[in-house]
Amino acid sequence: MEPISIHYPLWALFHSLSHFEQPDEALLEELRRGGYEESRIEEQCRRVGSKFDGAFARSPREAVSRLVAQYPDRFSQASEADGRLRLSFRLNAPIGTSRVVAEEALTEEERATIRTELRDGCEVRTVLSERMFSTDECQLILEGSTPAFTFISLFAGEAAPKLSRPGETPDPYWQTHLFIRDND
Amino acid sequence: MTSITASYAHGFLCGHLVTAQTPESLLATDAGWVSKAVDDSAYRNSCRFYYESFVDSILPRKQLPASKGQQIAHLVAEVGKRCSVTLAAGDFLFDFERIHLYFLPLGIVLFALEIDAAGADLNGWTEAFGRLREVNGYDRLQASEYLATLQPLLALCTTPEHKGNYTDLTDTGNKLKLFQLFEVKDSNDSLLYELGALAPIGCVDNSEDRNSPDPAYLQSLLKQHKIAVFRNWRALALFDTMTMLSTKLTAVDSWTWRESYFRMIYIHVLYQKTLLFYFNRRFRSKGVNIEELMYDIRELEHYYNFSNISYNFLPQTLYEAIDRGMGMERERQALHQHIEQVEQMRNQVSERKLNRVIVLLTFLTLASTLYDGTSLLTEAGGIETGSCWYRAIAVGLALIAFSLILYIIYHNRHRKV
Repeated sequence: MEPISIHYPLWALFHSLSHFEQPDEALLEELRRGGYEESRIEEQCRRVGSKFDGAFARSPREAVSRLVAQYPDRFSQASEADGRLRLSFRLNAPIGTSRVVAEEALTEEERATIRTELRDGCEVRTVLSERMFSTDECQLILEGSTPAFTFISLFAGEAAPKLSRPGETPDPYWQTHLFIRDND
Repeated sequence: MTSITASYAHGFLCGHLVTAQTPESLLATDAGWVSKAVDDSAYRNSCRFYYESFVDSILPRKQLPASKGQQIAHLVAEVGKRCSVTLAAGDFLFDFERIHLYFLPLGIVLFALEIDAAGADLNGWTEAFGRLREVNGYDRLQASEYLATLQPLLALCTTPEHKGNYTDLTDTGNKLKLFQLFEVKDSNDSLLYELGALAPIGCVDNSEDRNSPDPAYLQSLLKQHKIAVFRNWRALALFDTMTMLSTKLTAVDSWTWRESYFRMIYIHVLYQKTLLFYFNRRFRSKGVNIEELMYDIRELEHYYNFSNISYNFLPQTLYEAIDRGMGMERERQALHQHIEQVEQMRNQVSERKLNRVIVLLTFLTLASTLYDGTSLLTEAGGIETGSCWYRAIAVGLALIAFSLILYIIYHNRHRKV
């Protein structure tokens, strides 16, 4: 099989930075050289969201290399109509933490803190919890077709449907799943 | 052709477009434009390296003191698109990162298309950018994603005089200018020239290649336009391109070249160049208000034409090199000569008007003297007492007629000469 080649654009590396608990110095240096200011890089690292454990991967290149090595056949799938290949992976062990949790996994105390709020113009249900919810799943989005791709996004956790804007009918998934918030 | 890849390859394609939009109107839309005005801390930091007047001329500030009026703005729209240009040898891939707009005085708007192609083959780069520079050829360019991404920029160009065609991306000229930065394993002057001229890599040493430059020309070009201060980088400032070739580019170096040398020095010089085109065009247009034009030229020269810009030698060296590369001095001299000629003509016209007034006053003085003199004489001679206006007038008229005849003869003789 022809070796897979993946191009990592700077903007995609920057956006995926928030999904790594311990991004490696080579990634940070690449972003600095590419024009991203230190303050923006730090802010992106601090963004709340699902995170890959440092033990699993510290950069998109490292994470994708592991997935390609472990699941090479998955990358021969056809892309969707928009030219993107969306792949879901379930690994054998926890690889990070997720900020989306099923309501059934919550304690009574946690359920009492559920509320609805607006995030980026979308209505979301959130719950206050100090627990870390580990995940063995991750989602990878590439553009192009085998063997040459462009990296678009990568994050830990299960594939969740799009959020709904006010007035839109929310996907049933969001009636049973919530975002975790850190504080009130 | 020689194959060389660059571990870092970053470029800015720059042009001058005409738009009716203002920074405020663009920021009010939902098109993703963000202002890059700097805060006081960043401003003060810049003033530690550059003269304050230079910083004021090119860097928009968030909080502006009342004493400093400013007509400049810098807006950025993130693009984040993987693009390609189809060449004979295959597609050249690059990342279209963002679009910059620089709103500058006198309604001049410059733009820069920021492109990254780390890991690219430099032959592909020179060929691709040779095509990307030529907006006249965009209708035939095989680069659909790139052209699609330019549409919002073209929409800005749409005015009663401009229909938002690709050629409207260069209101002055027909090619975009290019500022490019590279990191390679081995650097040399031949490679520097090939990148600066967007020529095939290896053509300098291949006399069979039609793009191979004459050795004497190459030597002369490098002598005049190459900048080499440290061993790990060299640069070449030409009319259409500014190229920096490094063998060891750190994040700090990269930031400095982009945010300081390109953002401030190159854009400033490009603005000066555009101004010169603009003034020359106005000079030659019918119905131009010369007073207004001369006022604008003097104002802009006062606030935007600097001989020194920095407390440090390297920015100053680069400024002079870029200025020289764009042929600014010759064009400035030509403009100043035009101004001198216009001022001379205006002075001559004023002088003639003044001369006419003096002649008129002289005649009036003469007439008055004649009148008084005649009256005095007739009274002293006992011929008549009191004013003798009719004799004065008669004598005066005779003298005036005689003087006029003399003047006309003199004037005509002077004109013939």
